[in-house]
Amino acid sequence: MTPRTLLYSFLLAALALGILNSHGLVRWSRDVHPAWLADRLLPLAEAWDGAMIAIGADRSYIYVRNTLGALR
Amino acid sequence: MLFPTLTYALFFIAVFAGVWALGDRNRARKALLVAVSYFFYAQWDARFCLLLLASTLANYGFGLAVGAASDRTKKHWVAAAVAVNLCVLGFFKYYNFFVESANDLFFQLGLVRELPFLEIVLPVGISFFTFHGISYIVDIYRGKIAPARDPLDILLYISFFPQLVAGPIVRASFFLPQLAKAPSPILDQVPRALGLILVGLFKKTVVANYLATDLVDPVFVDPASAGTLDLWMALYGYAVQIYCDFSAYSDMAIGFALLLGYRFPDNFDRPYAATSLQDFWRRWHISLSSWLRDYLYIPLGGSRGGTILTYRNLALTMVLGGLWHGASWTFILWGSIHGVGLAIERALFGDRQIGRWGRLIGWFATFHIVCLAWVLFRSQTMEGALGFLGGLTGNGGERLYSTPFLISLIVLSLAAQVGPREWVQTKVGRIGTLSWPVLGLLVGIALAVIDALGPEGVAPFIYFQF
Repeated sequence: MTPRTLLYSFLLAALALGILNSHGLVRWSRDVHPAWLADRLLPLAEAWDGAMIAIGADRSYIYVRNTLGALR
Repeated sequence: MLFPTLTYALFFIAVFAGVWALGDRNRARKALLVAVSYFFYAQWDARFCLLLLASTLANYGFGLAVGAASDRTKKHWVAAAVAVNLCVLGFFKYYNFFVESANDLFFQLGLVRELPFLEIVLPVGISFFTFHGISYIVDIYRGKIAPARDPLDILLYISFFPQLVAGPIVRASFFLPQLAKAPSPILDQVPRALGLILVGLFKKTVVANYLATDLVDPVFVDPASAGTLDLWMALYGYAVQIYCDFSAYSDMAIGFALLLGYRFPDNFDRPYAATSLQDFWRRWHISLSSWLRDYLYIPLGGSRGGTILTYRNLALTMVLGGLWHGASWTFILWGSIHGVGLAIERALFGDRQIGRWGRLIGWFATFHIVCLAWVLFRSQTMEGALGFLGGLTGNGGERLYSTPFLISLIVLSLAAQVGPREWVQTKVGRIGTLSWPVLGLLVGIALAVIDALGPEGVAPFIYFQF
């Protein structure tokens, strides 16, 4: 493995995180500074989140969260 | 910019790409790392970048002066450098504490005198970068390193972002030689780095955050209304929380530095498995305890001046170690308990080997002394700490916070202190055999699971306040 392939791994990890936790992306976009950047990012994050919900990619994240919520 | 956030993840990926794209161009690499470290620090308060820069340049100048001075004048330069570093730390961290204590003393003596308080914002990480500066000067004085000729070296040593705000405290003699040439990719260290980062994220985001929000914070805010079981669970819970919080930061800092090609020393080694207080301090915040040993305890005389002076030096070192954590009598008392405990332990046992049962009793006693002392560390006031400790001897009361989930979290976290470390290391080592797409997917899934397991939001790390 080289730094280049490790970088590809990180980018792929970021993509996987964005797919599995698209709600988190929306939350993060709301808090981005400066505000003008948040204004641009938020619609994109919401559209991405909508697409992930449509294909059911958020189910595993919600399942884990609900299971732990029940345990608490 | 906290480690367990997407903002930091994006920042780190950009830094990682930039740093390795520079290849063997060492000066450009160091300049980039200094620039991004100041950017990282500016996310808290940009004004303090100037303080960090001034402190670094002063230490750079002092380093050159100490290196060039004759044996006769060297000591004066070292004394001046240490005094300047401590004055900066003293002003920002201790000014109001000493003013308050002096005013109390004047009042007790019947003197009508009020020293003025100042509104001082504590620069994040000031205790850490001050200790880095002192380490640099003293290491030059002791001949362990030559003064850095290139200001970039000292700028990077003091401001390197993984350790800048909460350590570990990296010795100049450990870090500066690593800057002599561009590091080659430490690819055999990738599994260890990713393991440290993911385990650190889990400890902070899941264990420390749940214990803090659901148990420790509410009980410590109002110990009088908590039942006895809640108080005991909050006592153990805080021990686990502070370990998972602080060791998580250290783990992640070591992991991020490794991914950029630099090594930091280990900072924790399963401290709650310690069988004596001395053993505890060899395992807890190792970079601070060894710093205090080498730059305070030994210059005070260490164990060279006879029994009484050894005890005095031990106690003084721990009291000052307590004061380093914060300007409050609770921290001083916390340090004193450890200092007196270490002295008593030395008087009773010395270097004698103890048997299996002795070690078990030693573990039980050490763990509970450490946990009880943490109450002082956590409490805002002495009254609050005494109220909490008094409640531990109470009888019953309603259980409000100690759910089976939180008790399990405490028990499992403590059990992990004596778990099979080699087995875990072998499993983590297998990461290195994975192809990059599989590694990327696994890391992404692990991050999503950790995020799903933790409560919403990320609390600041406890050691940021120091």
